[in-house]
Amino acid sequence: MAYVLRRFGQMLILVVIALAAVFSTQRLAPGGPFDGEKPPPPDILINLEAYYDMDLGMPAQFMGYLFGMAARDVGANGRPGRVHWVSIPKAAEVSITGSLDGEDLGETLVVRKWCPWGEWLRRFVDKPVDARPLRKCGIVRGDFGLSMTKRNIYVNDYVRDGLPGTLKYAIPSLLFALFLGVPMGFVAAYFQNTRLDFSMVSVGMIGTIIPNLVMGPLLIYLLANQLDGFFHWIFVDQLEWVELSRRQRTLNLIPSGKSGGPIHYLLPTLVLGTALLGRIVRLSRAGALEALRSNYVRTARSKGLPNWLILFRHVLKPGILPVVTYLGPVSAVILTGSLVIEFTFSLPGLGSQFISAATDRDYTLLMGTTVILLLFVIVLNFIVDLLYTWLDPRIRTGGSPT
Amino acid sequence: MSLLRPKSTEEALNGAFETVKSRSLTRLAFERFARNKVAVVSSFILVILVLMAIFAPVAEMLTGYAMEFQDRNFYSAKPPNWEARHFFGTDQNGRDILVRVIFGLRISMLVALVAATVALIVGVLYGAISGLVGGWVDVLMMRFLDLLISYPLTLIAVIALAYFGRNIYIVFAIIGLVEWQIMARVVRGQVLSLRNSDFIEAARATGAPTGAIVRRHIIPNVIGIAVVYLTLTIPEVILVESFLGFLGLGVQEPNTSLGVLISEGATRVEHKPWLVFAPGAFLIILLMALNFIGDGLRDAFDPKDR
Amino acid sequence: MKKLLVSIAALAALGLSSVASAEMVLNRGGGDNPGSLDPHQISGTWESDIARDQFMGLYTEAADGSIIPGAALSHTVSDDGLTYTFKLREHNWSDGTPVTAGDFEFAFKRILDPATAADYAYLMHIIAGGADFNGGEGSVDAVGVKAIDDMTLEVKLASPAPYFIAQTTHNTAYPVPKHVVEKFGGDWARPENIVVNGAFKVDDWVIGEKLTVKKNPMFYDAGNVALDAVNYFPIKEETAELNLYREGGLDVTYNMPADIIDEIKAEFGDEVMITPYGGTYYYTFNATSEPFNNVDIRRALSMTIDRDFITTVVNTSGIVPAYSFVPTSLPGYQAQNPSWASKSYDERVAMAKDLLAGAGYGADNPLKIQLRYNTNEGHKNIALAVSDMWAKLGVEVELFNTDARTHYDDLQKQDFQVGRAGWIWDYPDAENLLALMASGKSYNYGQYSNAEFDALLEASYTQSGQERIETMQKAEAIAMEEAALAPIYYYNSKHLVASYVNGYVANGDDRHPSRWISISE
Repeated sequence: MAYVLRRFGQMLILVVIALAAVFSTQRLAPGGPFDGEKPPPPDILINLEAYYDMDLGMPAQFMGYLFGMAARDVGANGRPGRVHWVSIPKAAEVSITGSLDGEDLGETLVVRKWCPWGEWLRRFVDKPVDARPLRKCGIVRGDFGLSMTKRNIYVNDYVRDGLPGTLKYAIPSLLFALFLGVPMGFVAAYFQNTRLDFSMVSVGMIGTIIPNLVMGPLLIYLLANQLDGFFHWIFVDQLEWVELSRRQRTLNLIPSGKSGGPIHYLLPTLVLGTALLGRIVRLSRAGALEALRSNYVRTARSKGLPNWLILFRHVLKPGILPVVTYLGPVSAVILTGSLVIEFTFSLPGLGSQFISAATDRDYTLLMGTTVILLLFVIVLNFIVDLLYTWLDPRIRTGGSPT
Repeated sequence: MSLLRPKSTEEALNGAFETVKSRSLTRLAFERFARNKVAVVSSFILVILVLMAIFAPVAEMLTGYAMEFQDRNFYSAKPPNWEARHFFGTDQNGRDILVRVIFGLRISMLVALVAATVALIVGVLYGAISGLVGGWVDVLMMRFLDLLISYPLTLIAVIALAYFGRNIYIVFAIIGLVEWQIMARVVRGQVLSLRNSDFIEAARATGAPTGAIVRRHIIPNVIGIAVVYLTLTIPEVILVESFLGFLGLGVQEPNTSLGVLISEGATRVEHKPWLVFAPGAFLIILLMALNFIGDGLRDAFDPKDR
Repeated sequence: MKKLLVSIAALAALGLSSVASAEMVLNRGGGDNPGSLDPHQISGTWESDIARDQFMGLYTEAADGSIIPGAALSHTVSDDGLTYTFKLREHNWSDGTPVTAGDFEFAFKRILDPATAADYAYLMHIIAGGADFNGGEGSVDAVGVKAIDDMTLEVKLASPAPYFIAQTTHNTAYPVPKHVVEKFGGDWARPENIVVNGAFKVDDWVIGEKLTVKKNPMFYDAGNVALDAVNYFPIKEETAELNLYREGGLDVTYNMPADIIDEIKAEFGDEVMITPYGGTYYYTFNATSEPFNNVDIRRALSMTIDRDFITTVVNTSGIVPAYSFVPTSLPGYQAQNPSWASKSYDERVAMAKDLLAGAGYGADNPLKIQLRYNTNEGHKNIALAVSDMWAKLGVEVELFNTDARTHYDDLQKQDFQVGRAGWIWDYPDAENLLALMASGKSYNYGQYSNAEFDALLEASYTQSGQERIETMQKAEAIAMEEAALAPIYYYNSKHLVASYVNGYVANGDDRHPSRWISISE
C-alpha cells in the first residue's frame, strides 16, 4: 500500500513537471494559435489574447491553468482586467459575455454545474469557487480548459470523444496481438530451430518489417480495393445476387476508412495488431526459451513431470515476463501508431487531435492531450511494475535493500 | 535436448577469471553468425542497399533522369514506362520514382545511422546506470523516462527546428534523442535481472571488482538485447522521420526520404499504387535485412549459448 | 443464398451510420470539425455552412446563392446611404420566444465587444462606432445599431457600403438569442443550450465523427423544408471523403482530391460539380528587402510563371489561370491584367531574362531565393513546378515548407522572400481583395507600398457606383503592373453531388443552405 501511495505521489509530481514543461516550451514554437490564412487584425488579436488570459504573465497563466480563477474585472477598454483568483468581490463586474442573471456575486456561492469536481471541492473550500459564465475551473477540478483554435469546445469534450475513438481499435489490436502472439512465441520456442519455429517468427515479423505507414495503404489496396472490387465483380456484376442500394457504389464488405460501424475498424485493428504481433512473438519466444533452459525446468524434467505441466507451471509465467515488460513501452507504440493510423484511415481519436493540437499551436488542447497520454503511460507502467513484481520474485527487491 | 543446455555457475565462475575472453568472444560470435544463413544473406542485402545509397547518383546515370528533374511529358504521376526509362513510374511532378527512391533510401539510411547510434549510446548508458545504481536514482531516472515518453515529440521537433534552423543533422539528432527511451528501459530491466543472478553473485563472492563484473558479465549480456532493440529502433526512427516529413518538419524538397515518399503515395494508393509500392518495397527489404541481422547478432552474442 | 448475400450487404451497409429509413436525411461532407456553433466565434467556411443551417440573418440566401429576405421583410436606406432601417419578420426562436430587433442589436454589439474576442468582428467595423468599440477605444453606446421597436432595426454605417445587404447574410451578422446568451454566457452555443432561428438545430455532436442537425419545427418556413436531418462528417482528407462517398456514406462532399480529378470524372461523371469561387491563389514577394524591393525582379518572376501549365497539367481540377488579383468571376468588375499577360510564354521568358539582366543578375551572378509554402501536397506540386520555371531564368530556388501556423507567422513578420498565400473574399467586392495591397495593412504580407495605389483606394471609399469600381480598377492596374504579388489561379469549389440530391445549386459563393435541399426517391 505504501508502495502504491509512493508511486501515486511520484505520479502527481511528474504530471505537474510535465505540464510545466509543456506549458512553457510550447510557447517557444513559432506561430501561435491565432495565426492562419486570415489572421485577426492587431486589435482583435489583443481581444483574443485577453479572452484566453494570455495577457497575463506566464506564472499567472499556469496558476490559472492549474487552479482556475474566479473572475476578472472589466479592465480598461472593456477588455478583461484584474484577476480574482478565489472569490469575487462585491464590486467586481464579471466581464466576459453577458451578466449573471443579476445575481449578487459577492454573497452568492455560484459553482457552475459543469465544473467537474466543483461540487466536491466546495466541501473543503468555504469560499465562492467560481462564478464565471465562462468555465475556468483549473485542472485540479478536472477542467482542461477551452480549446484555443476551436472556440467553443472544451478540451474535456475532445478527450470525451477522442479517447473512445482511439481505444476502439487500440484495445482489439492489443488483444489480437497478445492472444495470437504469446502462443505463437511459445510454440516457436518449444520447437526451436525447426521449420515451425522459423515460420512462426516469420509470420510475426511481417508486422514488424512492414511499418504501419506501408501496411495501411497496402491493406487498403489489397482488401478494400482489389478484394472488394473482386467481390463486386462476382456477386454484383456476374452472378447478380446482390443489388446495391442507390447510395452504394461498392459492395463495401471491407470499408477503407472513416468511422462508422465496427467493420470500419477492421483494417486499423489489423494494422496496429500486426505491428504489435511481431514484438510479442519475439519476446515471448525469448522468454520461453530462457525458461526452458533454466535449472528448474531441467529439474522438473528430470523428475519426469509431463511436458504440458512443465510448460504450464514453469514456463508460462517466466515466459511471458518479457511480454509484460513490453506492455509499458507498448503504450508508446500504440500512441505513435495511432498518429499514423488515424491519418491513414482518417479516424477520429486522440492521435489525430494530438497532431492537430501541435500543428495548430492549440496550447490548451496540447496540454490536455499530453496529460491524458501521460496518465495512460504512467498507469500502464504502474500496472506493469506490479505485474512484474508478482511474476518475477527476483525483482521484488528492486530498489530497496535486501 | 538442445533446449536444455546447462548453464552452470561453475562455467560462469570460470569465465570471471579467464583473461583472454574478449577476443575469443568476438571471434566466436563471428563464427556463429557466419553459420546463420539467413543472417548472412541479409548482410549481403544490407551491403547492397548501403552501396546503392552511397552511389545513388549512378541511378541518375542509369535512367538518365536527375533526382529533381521534372519530366513535363510525365506529369501527374504516370505508371511505369520502360521505353521512357521511367522504370517505377513518375510522381506528381513528373520526377522519376526509381531515382527518388534511391536518394530517399540514402536519407533514410543516414537518419537510421545517426539516430540509432545516438539512441544506442544514450539508451544503454542510461539504462545501465539506472539499473546498476538502483535506489532513488533509479526511481528518478525511470520517472524522467515516463516524462519523456509522454512529452510531445512533434513539439520538441518544431521548437528545435525553429531555433536551429532546418538542418537535417539536427533532425536526426532529435529523433535519436527521442527514440532511446525504450532501449533504456529494456537495458535497465536486463541489468536488474542480471544484477541479482546467481553467476554475478558468484563472481561478486569471489571478490571480482565491480568494473570487471560490468565488463565481463553485464556488458556481454546486455549487448545482445540492446542489438535486438536497435533493430527495432531503426524502423521506429525511419517512421518518426517520415512522420516529421508528413508534418513538413523533415527534409525539404527536392530532397526526400523513403518515409516521405510513402506518406505522399499513401493517400493515392487506390488510383496510383506505384507511388507507394516502390518506396514501400525498399523500406520493407531494408527493415527485413536489419531484423534478420539483428536476430543473427543476438544469437551470436548470446553468452548463454556459448 | 441470394437472401443471405443481400443480408451481408445490408450488414456492410450498417457499417455506415446512414441507414435507409423513412426520414429524409442528408449526409454532407463537413470539411473539418467546427470550432463552435456560435456564429460570432467562427471563421472557417466549413463552420459557416453549419451556422447557415442554424441561423438566419436579416437577409439570407436562396438555393442559387442570390439574396432574399430572411429575418427582415424589407429595408429602407437613407439618401446618404448611411442609415438602414429593417422591418423584421414575425418569427420565433426554437424555444418559442419571438425574435426581436433587440436580439439583433444585442448580437451586433456582442460581436463587436472586445470581451467576446470574435476573430471576424472586423467585418462589422462598417457599422458606425464599431471599429472603435472593438478596438477598445470607443463605447458600446456609440455603436450605430438600435432597436426602434421590437420589429424595427436601425443600423448606421460608418461609410456608404453598397455591399452591406450582402453582408447581412454572413454569419457575423446573424442574430443571437439575448435571453439564452445572458443565461449561459460563453456556453450558450453548446448543443445542450443552443437556441436558433434557422431551419435546423443541432441534435448530436461527436467531435471528429459527426454533427447532426435536425429540422427546427419553429422555423418560420418549416413547411417548405424537405430534409428531416443533416449529418455533417468532418473529414479533412479528401481521399477519405471520396471513399466514403463511394461507399454511400455521403451524398455531398465538401471537396475532392485535385490531382485525380480525371479519374473522378471518369468514375462519377455528372456528379462532379466544379464552380468558380471567389478567391485567388497567389505568391507574395517580400517588398521590404533585397531583391524584391526591385520592381523588375518581381515582374520578371511573375511573368515566368506559366499559369497555363499549372492549370492544365499540375492541377487539372478546372482552376482558371490568374493574372489579376481580383477574380474574373466578380460581377460588374473588369479584372486588370498586367500588360505582359497577353504575350506568349516564350516572349515573356525572354522579357524576364532581360529584366533580370538589367537588375544585375545573370549566369555568373545567379539570383538565389527561397520559396516558402505551408505543408500541403497541392502547394508542394505548384511550388516545384514554379521553381522549375524560374530555373529557366537561372534563378536558384530553395524550397522551404512549414506548418501553416509557422508559415503565416513568418509571412506576417516579413521573414520570407517569396511566400504562398491565398485569399477568399468575405463579401463579393473588389475592395475586400485590393485592401491586401494597401500600405501597412496586416494582410499585406509583402508590405508592398505604392502611394498612387493607396490614394486611389482611399478615394474609392467615398465614391459609389460605377465611379467607385473604375477607381478600384485603376488601382488594381497599377499594383498588377508592378507585380505587387503574383496571382497564380482563381480558386474553385469542388463537390461531388449525388444524382438524387435536389436543390444543391452551383453558385459563386459556394453557399448551399440545407433548407433548399431535398432527396428524390
